[in-house]
Amino acid sequence: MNSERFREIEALFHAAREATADERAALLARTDSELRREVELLLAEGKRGEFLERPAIEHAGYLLEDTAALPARVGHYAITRKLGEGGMGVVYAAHDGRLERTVALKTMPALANDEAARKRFWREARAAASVNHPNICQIYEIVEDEGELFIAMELLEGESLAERLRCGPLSVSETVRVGFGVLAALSALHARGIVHRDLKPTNVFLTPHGVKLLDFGLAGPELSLIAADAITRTGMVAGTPRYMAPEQVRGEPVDARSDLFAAGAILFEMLAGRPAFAGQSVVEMLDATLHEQPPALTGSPAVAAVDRVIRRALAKRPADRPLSADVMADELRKVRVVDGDDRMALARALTRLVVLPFHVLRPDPETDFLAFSLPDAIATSLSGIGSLVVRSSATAARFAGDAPDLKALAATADVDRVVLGTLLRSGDQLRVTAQLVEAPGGTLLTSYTVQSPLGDLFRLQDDITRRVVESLSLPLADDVAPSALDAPRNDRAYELYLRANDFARTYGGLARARDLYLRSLELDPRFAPAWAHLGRCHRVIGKYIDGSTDSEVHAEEALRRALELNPRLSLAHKFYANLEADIGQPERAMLRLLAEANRHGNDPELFAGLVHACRYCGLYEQSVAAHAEARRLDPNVPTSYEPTLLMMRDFDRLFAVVRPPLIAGGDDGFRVIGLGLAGQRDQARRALIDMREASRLPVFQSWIQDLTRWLDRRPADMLVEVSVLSRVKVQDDAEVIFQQGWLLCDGGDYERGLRYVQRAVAKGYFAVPTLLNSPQFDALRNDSAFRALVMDAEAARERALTAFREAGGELLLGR
Amino acid sequence: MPDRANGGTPEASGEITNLLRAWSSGEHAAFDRLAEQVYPELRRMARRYMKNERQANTLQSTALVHEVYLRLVDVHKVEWRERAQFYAMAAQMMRRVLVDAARARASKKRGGSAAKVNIDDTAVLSPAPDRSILALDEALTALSRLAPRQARVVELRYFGGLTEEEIVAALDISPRTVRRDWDFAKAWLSRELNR
Repeated sequence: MNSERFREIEALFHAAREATADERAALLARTDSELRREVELLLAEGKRGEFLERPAIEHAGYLLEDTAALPARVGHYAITRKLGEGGMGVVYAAHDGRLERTVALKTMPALANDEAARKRFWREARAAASVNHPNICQIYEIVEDEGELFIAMELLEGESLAERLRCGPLSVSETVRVGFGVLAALSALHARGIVHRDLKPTNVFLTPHGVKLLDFGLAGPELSLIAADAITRTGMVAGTPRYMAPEQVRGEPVDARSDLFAAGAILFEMLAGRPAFAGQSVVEMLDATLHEQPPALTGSPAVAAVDRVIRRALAKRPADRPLSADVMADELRKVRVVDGDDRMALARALTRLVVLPFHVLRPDPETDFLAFSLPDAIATSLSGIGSLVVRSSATAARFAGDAPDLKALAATADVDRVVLGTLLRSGDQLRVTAQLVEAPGGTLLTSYTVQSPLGDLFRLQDDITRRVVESLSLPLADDVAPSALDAPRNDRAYELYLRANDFARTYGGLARARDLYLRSLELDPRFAPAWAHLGRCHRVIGKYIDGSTDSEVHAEEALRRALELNPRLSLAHKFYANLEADIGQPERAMLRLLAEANRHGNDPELFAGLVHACRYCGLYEQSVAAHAEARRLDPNVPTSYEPTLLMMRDFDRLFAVVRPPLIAGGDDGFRVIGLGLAGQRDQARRALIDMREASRLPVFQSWIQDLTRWLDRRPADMLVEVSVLSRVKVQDDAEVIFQQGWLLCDGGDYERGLRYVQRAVAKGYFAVPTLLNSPQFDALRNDSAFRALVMDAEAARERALTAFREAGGELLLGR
Repeated sequence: MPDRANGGTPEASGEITNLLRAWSSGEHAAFDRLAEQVYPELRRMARRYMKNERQANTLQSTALVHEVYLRLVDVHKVEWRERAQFYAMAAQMMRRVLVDAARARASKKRGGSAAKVNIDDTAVLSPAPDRSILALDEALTALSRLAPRQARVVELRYFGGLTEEEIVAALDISPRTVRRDWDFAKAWLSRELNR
């Protein structure tokens, strides 16, 4: 080829690559056919991603190894070169002279002097050799040569997943593809009763013909013995325990579900580019396996969907994992990898942060409220950042104290970064020292002291927030300044606002909080967060405490003001959605939360809100999915998952709900109703008695009384008392009304029951599946009023479902 | 910092530094003498790297030329451009080290005990059997006749493990040119080897 021709080819190659698809087609169409063919060939070659991408030494370094040390032959195999060396032995490339094929030959020196291990090895090797599956490296034979055992197996082209991971994380679509291969292989092994036990990236091979699994069943149960023994001796384990399931770490029996845990850990590592469980030492790593969760992954809806599959596989209890490799593969199959950007989307691990209440160095009635409300305000402004998930102040409050237990924080509150602080007032100055600490290790990442006049609380808060953001070394895109719309304009107003936040934490303080918000707003009527909180106060007071008639109107007005001042104020949207569900607009609530979640998908409270809103719309599956998403982001976020299960009449799952450790008490009303409906009235009564003792709010007492009458089959006595409490707005809640109607029908009082259910649907409770499937309504099936009611609910539910889909809910929640 | 005890003595380091500066300022004769010193050191370190590698030690392979540089050159006496040129030379040496090893193997096999090995391309664990490095070497030499700069970029990146920045400094071209040259040469070589 002459160099002129070469230049032509090169120039066209670059022009074509830098053009858009349309331009490229036009460009190539203008070119003579021979040149075009050359360039098209080169463009196609350019897509061979792996070629030359890793440095020569990694490909060809083996050439430098001493060949003299190789054995010449083993049995009828001629050794050609060494491929690798691992804990179990050496792997050679060898040539089978009889069948004229090249194989991989693995030595098993550990077995040479152990008769029992040898027997077990043969037994397992026979089972393993019987598996013939495209995703499993085929075992050809076991060779015994001069007392040493060798396995001859398929020689694979490509690289191990471990090698691939050194070049960084995989895209979602690659991850899913490799995941399918691994799960298909596991399914074939499990079908033959073989548990892999040692699934890890070095055993997963990526070949041009797909994924191949190696070394199954051969590592044997001795692995766990090695682990327990060797860790204490040297702090090192032969092989890696990084992918071991908790039961393996504890030396308990393993089964197929232990392999699914490892598969989950591998999926996580592919997406995140870092191990699911890490630590400075093996002991720390094992500790993380037993007690911690890897961070939630974000980046695209598909990333979140794969992460949900990962999370189930990584459940600490085998019973909570998918039932089988096939079930897990089905879950993965539901992940929709949308074409375009999503296909190549890379995941980011969310940084999980908690801002603990500050420690007051010298008690001072004037400033003590800041111990809670300053960190709370910092947490709120941090929570807008894309790759952070900030734990709620309720979670933080559980760990108040001067020496927090970082291990417990990492394991129970599911965090890896903690902000701690101290407060000291001296004269009219306030001195705050804030520290950012890594959990559970305790490494101090930054320490920062600010001193400012008492009147300048916002600057204090803002300084600390910025400093924390800097030290978290978050991706650049996250470098967001707190919205100017949220900056208060009046120092005194801001102080009142922070004081109010402190009161608003308990039911008893809500009325005082409301008054303080009002005073704050008199001084600074343009401060949106105060309006939002005021709205919440009005709603909660009206719903549960005093039932003031126009509480909903006040609440809505305040929330509207907040959103007029700052349409992006997440807090206001969350509060507003709660109110909308109360006032018969669950579809609006749902759409509001979906829109917010589309903007910043890592706020667990938005999904917790969707659990509620979707249920009111009659979209139970979506409500369950929202619960999974909320808990993926924060294992401790309270959600109304239990009533959803009750409405689905999924009593088994309802009774099996284990509340996360940080959600205290909760009420068991839904469990009681579930037990009663499932015919377990005695257990329901016992649960009710416990509930009565635990509950303090008067409104719950009347509910408990009604539930008792229901269990005693006295429907006529239900819901008859006209008490002060009947004014409380919770009695107007569509869901409460529906349940009352449901229970009345269960007691046989169909007339009143139907009226209640009608009211519930009219007030925005579209419980179609429950209406259709509950035997309690069977007697009403031919009643024309009931049928009309079902049709109304059905139409409303359909509308909500369409709106859910149009708002991108399916992509967001994976269904 | 690497320990000098195992590597170049201060005198050797001084000599190499002088050679590097001489070559860098245009004395072509200095190149061969420089290469003489660098080649065995690079081979020694590459072997050590492979040994560590087998023990699953995650040494960065790209660090190899950097490490050789630190061991052989008095870093206080050279400028960044000279350093870049050293890396470029070391990349070329690395190519020779690997090609020589592949040739040695090939000849040994012809006469050795494990004769008649027919490497089946569809079933090879490593993507680069002995002969593929030789084929690549030939294709790269052929490419350098048509497009010397583009071939150099491949040599620096693939054999030397140099970063884009280092290639920019060594060849005195823009980052964009480095990327374009790499993309084109890679496609070209891939097609040559798969013909």
